[in-house]
Amino acid sequence: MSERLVQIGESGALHGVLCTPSANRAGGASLLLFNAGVVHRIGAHRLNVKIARAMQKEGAPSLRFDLSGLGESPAKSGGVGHQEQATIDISAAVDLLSSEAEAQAVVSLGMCSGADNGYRAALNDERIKGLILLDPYAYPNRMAAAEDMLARAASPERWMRKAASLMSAKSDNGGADAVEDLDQARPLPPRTSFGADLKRLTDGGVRILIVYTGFVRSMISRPSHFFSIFPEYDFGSRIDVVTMPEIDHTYTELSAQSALIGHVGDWLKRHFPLAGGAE
Amino acid sequence: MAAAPLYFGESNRRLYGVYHHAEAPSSRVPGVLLFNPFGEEAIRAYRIFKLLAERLARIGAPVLRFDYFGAGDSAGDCADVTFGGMVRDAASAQEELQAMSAKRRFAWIGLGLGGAVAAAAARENDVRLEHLFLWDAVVNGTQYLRELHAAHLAFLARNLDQPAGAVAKRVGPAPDTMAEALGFAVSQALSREVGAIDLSKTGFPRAARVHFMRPGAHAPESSVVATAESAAKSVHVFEDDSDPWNSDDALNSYFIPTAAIDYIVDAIGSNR
Repeated sequence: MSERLVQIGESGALHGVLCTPSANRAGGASLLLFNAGVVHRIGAHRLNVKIARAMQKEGAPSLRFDLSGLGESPAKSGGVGHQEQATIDISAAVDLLSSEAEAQAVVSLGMCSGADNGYRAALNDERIKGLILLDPYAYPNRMAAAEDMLARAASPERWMRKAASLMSAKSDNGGADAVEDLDQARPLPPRTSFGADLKRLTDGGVRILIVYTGFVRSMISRPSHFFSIFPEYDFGSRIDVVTMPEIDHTYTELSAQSALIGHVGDWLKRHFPLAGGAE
Repeated sequence: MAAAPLYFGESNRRLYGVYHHAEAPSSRVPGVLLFNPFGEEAIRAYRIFKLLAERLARIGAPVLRFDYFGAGDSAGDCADVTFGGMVRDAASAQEELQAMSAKRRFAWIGLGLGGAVAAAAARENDVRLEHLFLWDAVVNGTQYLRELHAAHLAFLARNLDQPAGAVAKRVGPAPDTMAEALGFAVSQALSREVGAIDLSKTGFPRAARVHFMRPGAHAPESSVVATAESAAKSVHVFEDDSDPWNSDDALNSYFIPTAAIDYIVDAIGSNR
């Protein structure tokens, strides 16, 4: 294992682990991994470590680190909000990753609030050439709502569970409650604002892989649902959407983790190939 | 520097840890080693241990917290985690703490499965402890595997909107068929070793004071307390009625069991 502890930023206040492949190859991508919610840098179910080491075997270096106020990195004092601070922190991490892996394109991978922080950082830092967004913002749309209704109608068990949950005063609405709970801590920007930001990123040449899980299955359970939300924007072929409605938000099952790692690896190879091709 | 991340241990079994320097070193206060629980529970315990370590450092205790091989930022895959390996890692961590702190007196704090690891490591290595805190510790491995299996099934059923029966069919209907739990692999070796844990039979290490810390209604079994009493100068039971530290609600939240942390800091600080 080739990993070493690093300190990031001018004062070295941010703590992280740099994971490098045994042979330095030209081309390809280097990955930035950081916190999802308040979980420290290893990620939910240690997913960031698993992804970093799997991509290391594919020749991709990575830096996983704690944003200010999370994990081992102390909170910054001073009038900057968490979102703005996260953008500053990610740029500092790009500085380090770029100096360590200058031949690679920086790709940010973030889950949930980590996806939000990643895409905001990319808007602010054009050195980020790729984004992997796990369960980024999702919006209701008629196509998905109709399909979800049909799926429920075809499943008496799901109706029974819905009735049971209603009786216990908890509604079972395909993850919407969870989304609502999360939204209290993760405000949803207007649809047009998110769409315009994605358009700006893709126009700037940023490649984006979006993976939606069952967490938002009532809104997005097929890639076409995502594109139907933004009919006014042509993202070209720069956004790839993968839907995994049978998988939970944090990829709890090991098969789900393997599937995600497979998608990430395939996408990186396709869009950020190593010079001379992958081994 | 107040807290220093580091790697230590055998070259083929490199472990990640964070050493907290004592802020006001005191010969009266022992060095403290923190033992993580297993798998997902270690992630839920992360902030609790960090805050506990900072509190202890403030009263003069040097503290080491660390990740077992195959966990956290340490080397190794999750599938490599075994109970025997965790016990071996504990010995490496104790060596590291001893070398860094130059302390001769120690307190160990084990949370969840970490409690069983601490008890086994102290016994095997004949470490004499000032304090052994068994915080919601696994004292009966079979029961723990049952609870872990049930928690895994319930979490998946709730988060996947699937019937519990369908999830159980996929995951395996019984703890001994469980190959994973809450995002982490459970190897057959780990399952077998954990299933054999029974602190009422295997006995306790020599410790001046053993503290059973159990949340809510989980009072320690009298047979376990009796076994501890035979090895310790004194046995203390701390009941905490706050929400469980490892609940699903505690995941991704700032929940901290303050009363339990206060109890530990006070016990170590006052050496009672």
